[in-house]
Amino acid sequence: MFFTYLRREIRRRKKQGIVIALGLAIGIGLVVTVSATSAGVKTAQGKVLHSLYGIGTDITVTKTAKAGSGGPQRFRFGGGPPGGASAAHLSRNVLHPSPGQATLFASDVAKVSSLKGTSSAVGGLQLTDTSFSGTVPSSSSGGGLGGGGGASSGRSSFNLNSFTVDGVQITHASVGPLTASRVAKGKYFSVGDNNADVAIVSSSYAAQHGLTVGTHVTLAGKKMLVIGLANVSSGAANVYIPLGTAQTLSGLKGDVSNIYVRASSASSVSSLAGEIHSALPGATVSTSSSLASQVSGSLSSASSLATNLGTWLSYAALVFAFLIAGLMTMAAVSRRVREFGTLKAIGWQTRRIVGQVMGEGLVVGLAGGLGGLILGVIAAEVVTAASPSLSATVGSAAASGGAGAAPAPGGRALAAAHTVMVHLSAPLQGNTVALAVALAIAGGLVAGAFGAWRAGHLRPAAALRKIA
Amino acid sequence: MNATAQSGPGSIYVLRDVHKHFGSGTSLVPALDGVELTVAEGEFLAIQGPTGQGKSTLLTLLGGLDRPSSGEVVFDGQPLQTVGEAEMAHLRAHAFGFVFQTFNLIPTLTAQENVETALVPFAVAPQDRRKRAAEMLGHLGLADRGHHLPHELSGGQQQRVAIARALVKDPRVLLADEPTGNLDEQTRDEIFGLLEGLWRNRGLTMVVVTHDSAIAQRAQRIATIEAGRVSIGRSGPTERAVNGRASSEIHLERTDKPVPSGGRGVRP
Repeated sequence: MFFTYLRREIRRRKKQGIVIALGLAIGIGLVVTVSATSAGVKTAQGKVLHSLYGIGTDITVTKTAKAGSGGPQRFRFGGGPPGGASAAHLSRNVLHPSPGQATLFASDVAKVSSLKGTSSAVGGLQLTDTSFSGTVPSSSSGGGLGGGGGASSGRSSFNLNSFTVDGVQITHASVGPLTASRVAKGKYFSVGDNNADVAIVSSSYAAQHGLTVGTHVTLAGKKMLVIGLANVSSGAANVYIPLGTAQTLSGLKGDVSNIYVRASSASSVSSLAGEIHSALPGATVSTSSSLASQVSGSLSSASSLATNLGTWLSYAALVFAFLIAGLMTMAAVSRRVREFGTLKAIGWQTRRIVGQVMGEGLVVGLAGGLGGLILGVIAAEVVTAASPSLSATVGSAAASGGAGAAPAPGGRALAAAHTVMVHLSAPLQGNTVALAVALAIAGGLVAGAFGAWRAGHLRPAAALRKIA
Repeated sequence: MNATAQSGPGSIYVLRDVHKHFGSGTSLVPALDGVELTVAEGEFLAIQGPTGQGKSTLLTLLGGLDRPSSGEVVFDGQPLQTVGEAEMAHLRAHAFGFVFQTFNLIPTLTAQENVETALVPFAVAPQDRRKRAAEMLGHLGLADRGHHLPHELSGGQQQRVAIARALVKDPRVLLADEPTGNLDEQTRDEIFGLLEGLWRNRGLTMVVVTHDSAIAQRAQRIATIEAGRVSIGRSGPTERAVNGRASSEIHLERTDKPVPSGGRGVRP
């Protein structure tokens, strides 16, 4: 009888049910969309942070160069060609630390490893390979280096190219700027590769420069065999080489520029950061949360939009939908005073009538929830299909300030006002679906409760008098 | 002058100094003003009176749909004003059957399902519920109308469904509020004949509120309400025809069906 009555009543009030369900659907759909988009923004933030920070890393330790010790890379060329020619062809290729970045001792890695709360710590060396080739006028001609890469000034003509290189401690394949899981083609470094002339190239850089596994890439004038291609995000380095090789080529034997630390538990990250700071005075210790706070750009705007405006807007819409659903259900109950008065007169308990009204509200709420989920899925698919590009900029202060500026947790990234482009998606997750179902049930119960409250308070005689 | 309530072994209702008013303060509207009334078990009592004098209000008090502002309504020795809401619902489900002027059928349920609603509080098995509702509709000549919705039935058929709903649970008392008020003369006679027959055959106590003197004249007693006060008029022809005794001594012939008491009235 419960289900027969429920089904018939919902069918009788089909239009009203549709309006209520639609209102709930819009509210729930908004919440689902905002939740999915927020999840997408978080994923995008995660990608950005990974690219700047290292995978599986909780804390990064870097050291900022002292004022005056950094500055742009200078090329040193020998004397001009014999015979006092008016122009000279020059070619140089050097691997050097990123500007504004100082190095730490490799022994510092061991210090951090020995700290309580450290799960693992690896060293890394962030470098930039810069090559110069071209013709420059001799000193007597009055010319000089001018312009930028590929520029031509008077009789001078030269090319200036650079790309980023990370030295990777290959003994720990799960922490650091490149992990084994990122290698899409070829293979990760072998145990014996620490000083080998091998490299793993980011897939995007390889595509731009026609590199494949088995080809060579030149670093500091030395050819490196490409053994793998890695899928890394856009902010990551272009080329990865073993740490020993990087130290040798850059002349930084025994140095690292970054220490990537994984804490033994998420709760110990903060205290471990403090311990590292004490153990390595002068070093910049940063956690992923401190880095996230330095992210700016449209990703940051999207994040705050989703968190603030989106969340509140969707919840306001939801509350409004609940309220409308409740009031409409209450109005519907008012029109059914005769029915409920009669049912009470024939002995139906109040709780049975309340249960009937709540049941009807719940069914309408679940219909609204299903509609909301469908709306949310469509909206999320639209967001994912549109895939708007968001930019995240980190460390502009460090870049503009150069050495001695604000702490730069991301090393290279922050030293160069790094901007990472990510594409926003809105993935539907299990908890978003669960949220929609929970909201649907809540909406149904709220709507039903309004009506049930009205029905429960009906006195049978008063209800019957109204129809007389 | 009000009738004096006399409690006796055969009394199913005793009303003592019952007052009922609506509203409060300056907008207080008295509906019943010191009603004294006794109804014997198995009696057929008609309540007559002009519109707005408290007839329906009295019926709602007898059926436990409302409570008196003061005074006492005793049903089967139990003062109804002391009964809690859940117990009152139990009484309404088991002891009282209501028939309304406007039928009050649930518009979305079929005739059969409307009759079944009266058995819902008994928690009988759905199969048994359907069987009993169908049987009751069959008794009332609606065997072929069970699957029709109320709006597909005539007024007389709707009232038959309402009567079936009231009687399917074997109540002790049938309370009817203008049961023929919405019907034409022919259907009125038909429906009332049906009620009268059921009263005779099922041993019911029947209290009928009616404007219609022709209907009232067929009751054993006629109670007239005016300005909230009840006076007992002459006995109707039914009493004389059946018993030939005074109203206070009414003892109707019964069928051999046991009279249900409280929740025990419904067949398992």
